[in-house]
Amino acid sequence: MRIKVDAELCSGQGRCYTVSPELFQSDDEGFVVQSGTEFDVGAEDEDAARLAVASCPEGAISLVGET
Amino acid sequence: MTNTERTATGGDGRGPGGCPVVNVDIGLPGPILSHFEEWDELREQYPAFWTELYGGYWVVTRFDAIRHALQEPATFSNASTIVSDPDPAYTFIPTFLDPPEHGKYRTLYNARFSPGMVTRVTPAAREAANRYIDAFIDDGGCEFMSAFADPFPADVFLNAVNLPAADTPKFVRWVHAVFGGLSGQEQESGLDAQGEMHDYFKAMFDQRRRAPEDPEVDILTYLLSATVDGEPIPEADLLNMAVVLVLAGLDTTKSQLGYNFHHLATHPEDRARLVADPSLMPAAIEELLRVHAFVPPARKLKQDVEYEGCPMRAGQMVLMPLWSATRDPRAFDDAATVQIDRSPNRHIAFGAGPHRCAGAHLARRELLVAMEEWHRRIPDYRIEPGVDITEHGWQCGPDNLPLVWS
Repeated sequence: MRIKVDAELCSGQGRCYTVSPELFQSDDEGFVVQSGTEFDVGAEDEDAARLAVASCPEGAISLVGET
Repeated sequence: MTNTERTATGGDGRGPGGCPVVNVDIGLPGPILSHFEEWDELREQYPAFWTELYGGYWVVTRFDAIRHALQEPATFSNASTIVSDPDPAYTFIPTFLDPPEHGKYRTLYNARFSPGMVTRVTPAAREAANRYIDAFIDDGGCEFMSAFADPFPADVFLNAVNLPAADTPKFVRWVHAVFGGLSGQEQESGLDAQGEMHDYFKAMFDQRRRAPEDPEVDILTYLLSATVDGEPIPEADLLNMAVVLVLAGLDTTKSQLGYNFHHLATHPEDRARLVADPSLMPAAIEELLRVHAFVPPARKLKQDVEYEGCPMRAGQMVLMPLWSATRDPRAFDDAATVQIDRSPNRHIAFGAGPHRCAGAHLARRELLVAMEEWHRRIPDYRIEPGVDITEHGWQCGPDNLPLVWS
């Protein structure tokens, strides 16, 4: 699956890298390093991906191809 | 004072554009949790309404609409965030700024209130928590708000900004004076306190000019060496920014500690689960933030907008209590109930959009350290029987929380 992190919406709340650290990391200012990017993850990371999507208070994380 | 006595409902469409008028006074005190519970009812009745109090302003109640507004500074501006004062004579920096100006200052806070800084100050925070607990643990009880919730955040904040922990009592007093003022009491001493804070930080900045410290750990040195649009920050703005940090970071953490310990004192089953398995504490903290999201941000309309069925006009103010958003059943199942292992939990207790609380990472760590250390040493406690627990309005928080243990 393909994860997208919207840089316009990301405000550095930090939930993604807290709940799914295997997929997301914090930069020095508390924003997610993956902000503004799209990247693929394997099936084994599906739970972590969906948890991050559901945990972002800004709704900045989405799965490409899913509403 | 019951909820129905202090809420005048007026769903008769006599507000602008035929919208409802509800003259609920968010500034009134009440029994603890009463503001949250009152708005649980209001939110279900009205997605938005006009209030004639405090000069008149709009109110939006539901999660999606509140979050969207906070993410749209072009329409919902921070030019004022105080409903009774749409044209303030002062500009809190960066609170009263919009993008792109806002980001130039905000980035300085992000760099210093980062997860890295939080990790660095955690040992000192743990030491502080234990120091305050040491003072009352053998007494079998304490007034939690004054004995712990007041000084602990101030102590951690001072350490984080590399100022003397011995100044904690000064900061506790200033926060009392200012936040009493916001609720309508002690208005004059609030202004005096801000003046005293100005003087205090002026002296500290002067000292750092003479003897700069490491800007990686000393925020005052960092701000002195920072630039905005290529220019150093004028002294008046530096003092402004320092006072904003104090006003933003202390009363808030204090109130959240109060609500957390009130919940755990009154829900022994939740407390027992955390004592048995402290790894549940981070999730519990998120849930306690969600259920008690006590900050009511306001925005100033920068342009006309039809929002939640109401004709909002440029220049008008709109209030969006975060607790109304975070307890919205449209966003959270069983929204009014604390489920300490709730997951996922995408609450907006720290706000949303560009003005998302810059201190969120530090706040979360303070709450975690306080909960860990307290429950390690005082796992069983309850509220002193026969005492009414009350909360103040606006930026709500418990006024008192007498705890007892054996």
